[in-house]
Amino acid sequence: MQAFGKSQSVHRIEDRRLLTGQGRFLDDIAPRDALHAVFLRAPIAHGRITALDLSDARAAPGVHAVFDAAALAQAGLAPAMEASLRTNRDGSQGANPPRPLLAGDRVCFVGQPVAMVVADTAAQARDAAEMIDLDLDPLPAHLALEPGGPQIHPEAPENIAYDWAIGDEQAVEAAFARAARRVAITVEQPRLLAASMEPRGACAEWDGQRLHLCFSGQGVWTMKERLARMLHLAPADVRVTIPDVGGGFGMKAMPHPEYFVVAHAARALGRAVRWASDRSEAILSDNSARDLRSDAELALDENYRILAYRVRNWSNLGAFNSEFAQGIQSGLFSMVATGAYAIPAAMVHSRGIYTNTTQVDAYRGAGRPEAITVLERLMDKAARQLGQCPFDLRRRNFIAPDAFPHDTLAQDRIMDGEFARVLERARAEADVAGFPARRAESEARGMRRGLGLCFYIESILGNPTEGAAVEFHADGTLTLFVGTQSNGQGHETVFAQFLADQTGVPLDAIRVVQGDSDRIARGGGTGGSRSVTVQTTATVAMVGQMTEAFAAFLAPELGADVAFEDGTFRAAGSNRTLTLIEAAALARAEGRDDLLRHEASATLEARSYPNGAHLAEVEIDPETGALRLERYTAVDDFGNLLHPRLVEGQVHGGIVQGFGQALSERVVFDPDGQPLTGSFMDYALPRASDLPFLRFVSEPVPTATNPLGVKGCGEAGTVGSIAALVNAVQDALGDGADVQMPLTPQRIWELFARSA
Amino acid sequence: MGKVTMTVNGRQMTAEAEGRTLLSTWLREGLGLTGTHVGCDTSQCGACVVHVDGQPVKSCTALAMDLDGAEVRTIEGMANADGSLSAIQQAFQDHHGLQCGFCTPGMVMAAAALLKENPKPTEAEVRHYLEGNICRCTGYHNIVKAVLAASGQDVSGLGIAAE
Repeated sequence: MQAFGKSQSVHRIEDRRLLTGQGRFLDDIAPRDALHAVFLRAPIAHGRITALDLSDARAAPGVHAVFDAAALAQAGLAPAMEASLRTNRDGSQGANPPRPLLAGDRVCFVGQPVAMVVADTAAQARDAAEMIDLDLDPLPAHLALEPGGPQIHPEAPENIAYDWAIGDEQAVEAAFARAARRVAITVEQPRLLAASMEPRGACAEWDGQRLHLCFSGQGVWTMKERLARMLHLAPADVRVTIPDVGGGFGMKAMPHPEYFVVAHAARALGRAVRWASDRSEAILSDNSARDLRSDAELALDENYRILAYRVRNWSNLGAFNSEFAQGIQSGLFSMVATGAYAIPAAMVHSRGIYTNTTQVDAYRGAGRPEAITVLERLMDKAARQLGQCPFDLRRRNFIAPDAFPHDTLAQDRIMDGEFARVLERARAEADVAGFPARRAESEARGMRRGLGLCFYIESILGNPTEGAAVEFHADGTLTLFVGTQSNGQGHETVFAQFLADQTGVPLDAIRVVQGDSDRIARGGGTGGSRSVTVQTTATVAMVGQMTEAFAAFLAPELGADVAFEDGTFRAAGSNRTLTLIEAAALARAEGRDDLLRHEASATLEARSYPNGAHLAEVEIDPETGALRLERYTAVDDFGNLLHPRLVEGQVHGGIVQGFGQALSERVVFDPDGQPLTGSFMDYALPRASDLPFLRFVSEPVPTATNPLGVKGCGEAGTVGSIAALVNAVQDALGDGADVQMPLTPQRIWELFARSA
Repeated sequence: MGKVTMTVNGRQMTAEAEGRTLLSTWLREGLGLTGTHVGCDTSQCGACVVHVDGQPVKSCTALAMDLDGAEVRTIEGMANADGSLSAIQQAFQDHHGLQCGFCTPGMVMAAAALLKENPKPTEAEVRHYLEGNICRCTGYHNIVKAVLAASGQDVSGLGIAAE
């Protein structure tokens, strides 16, 4: 076995095709003869369908078929999509109103799919969709993030989807009753769009017996299972593949209704059918994100030690349960609710609310950025309100390095961490000592300057089990099959590099295959910052098994003590050495085909908990509300870094998604539920000119929970950045009302105007 | 419906177009040049930037029929004649200026146009020029770094801080 942690930043294998226009994104590789699908979507937020006449559309030029809910029912498709449900506080299940693929008698949000047209060209399909006669009787819409109002589903009285809690409420109440100090805050987190640059899409083919669905996703196996059940196919007759993916961020992990309708159409028509969402459609129909309000409170003793913490969340689920929606602001929120602090008593109480809006589900961090943002906004407020240094207050309450393993509120275990060391490194790297001088300099120019700190902890989620397989080819190359799924992070490079590192096989002799349910039996896809940790752990297991098998095979030739070291098999009594590729060639020559394929899976012993300190420094023009991010320092403990340059890229991207939430992004509806942020002209994604260069510093505390000592890095940037940025604005404002996201120039201007 | 002919990446190419056919659709569907991506339909994201008669153009907002006879360069025509990456493409790879790669064709085309106009841009000039190109993965840091590097400027201080 090779030494671990050969951290190096090799060039990405995938870059060449992506830089020369040879990327293979979904809509780049659709079969040339595929028919085009276009959806007709609900134009109002809530209404009863009184008429749906497809006859003109069906007769339009180039049209092959038009599908509506009745057509799907007639074909025998299952009546509703699946979703995971929470268990309520009273032991009952969360509400499960049926979520149809196509609206039947009622539409429940603007953008809900109602019918799908399939035609020779996309333009013909669009023209025909406009000829569909859809009559609606409007119903009152429920949009407020509170119970009550016009009821959307009979299954959900008061529009409450679930009512869930964790923690010892009595202990919390008792601690609050005896606390010397109490600090409370309300944090509103705006509704966001994942806004992957490549919109969603799918292409399906039917060969008379088997279905092949190619889609822009984050893992093939859930989709395969769901397709088989929805279309009543044997799982063996369903193949799902994922090509190059232009960003997913959690949104693309979830089944969406369009994929099933496209698959059904391909089967019904015996033709390939492709659908590519345009941006307006993506904004209306992709799962949205965040959208919650939290009331949080800390109880502290006279020495500023935290005695208890409680949070009450209201989470907007949109009109239906999306795949994992009920779990985000409840279970996942609670994973890191108490952050890096030793808090003796804590509780999270979360309620989900249905509204007449697009479904809400996972997005970069899924519950963990939300939880840390609430906690770190409150820690910041506590420091201000109690006259404490924000660094000292946090230090005083950190879980001490000798207090691990630490049992969390969510009944998980944090195995390691040196939070004070990470915080001190950040204080030095960000030159916090020089901040007063920089602030004075800003103020001399009539500007305001603020410094914001967030100390976050992140929990790696997703399936803790993963598999890896290799196949040796006659030409001296091998294929590595992985169950994770790149969405642009660079997995092809990282996993090939790691296998090369472990086996001595040259990088260019390794090809990574992912995202094909016919070639890979199972896997967990991408999500929860899991990929590097689980995939390398599986690879280590597979390499161990493989080298043992080859050692046994080579023993008669080399000697009984044959071992695999530095990429070669050797034995003490022989001068002969063989590389892995040579050993495979020998096995092939001797007819040992069983040695040409190796497969293993491994399960992580425990979750890892990346953590870090993010410091944002902003300058604000109080006359205009314009904000400039002057400095940004992220000091992160991700354990060992496998490919530092890719890790840095994950941090940058994560920070800027948090920047969007903190400062500019928000989905807005009018009082009738019409979305007003229907394009990138209205929905404010961060642009290059909004940002400075960002500083990433690695302060690793390698974890013992996996062989490499890695902790995961995919979501941490977002988890740490939101509160850091908002706290920086709050600091620039000085005392005053708690600020709320997104802190657009208008909001900032109003805050300064009010406080002046 | 009619035939439209343009010189695309140095070769004369002809494909059908309707009056409403966008340049991006004509390139992707008509010529099979799928390197040019469409990310927003409203001229905001810049994934579809190509060069038309030497100028950067968002191809999702240009009509193919208006451009009969034009000279067009797309991402497929950006590599050197020997197939190696051009200086800008190489800088994107060297500095990890791309993750998912979907916005990358437009970023490279916009950056190439910038460097033609302004061979040694400042950081602020690069950021300002790329305002019309959205990236959701990189936070722009490594894109700006790559463009500065492609212009021959020293970017060695912009990496990961040493442990």
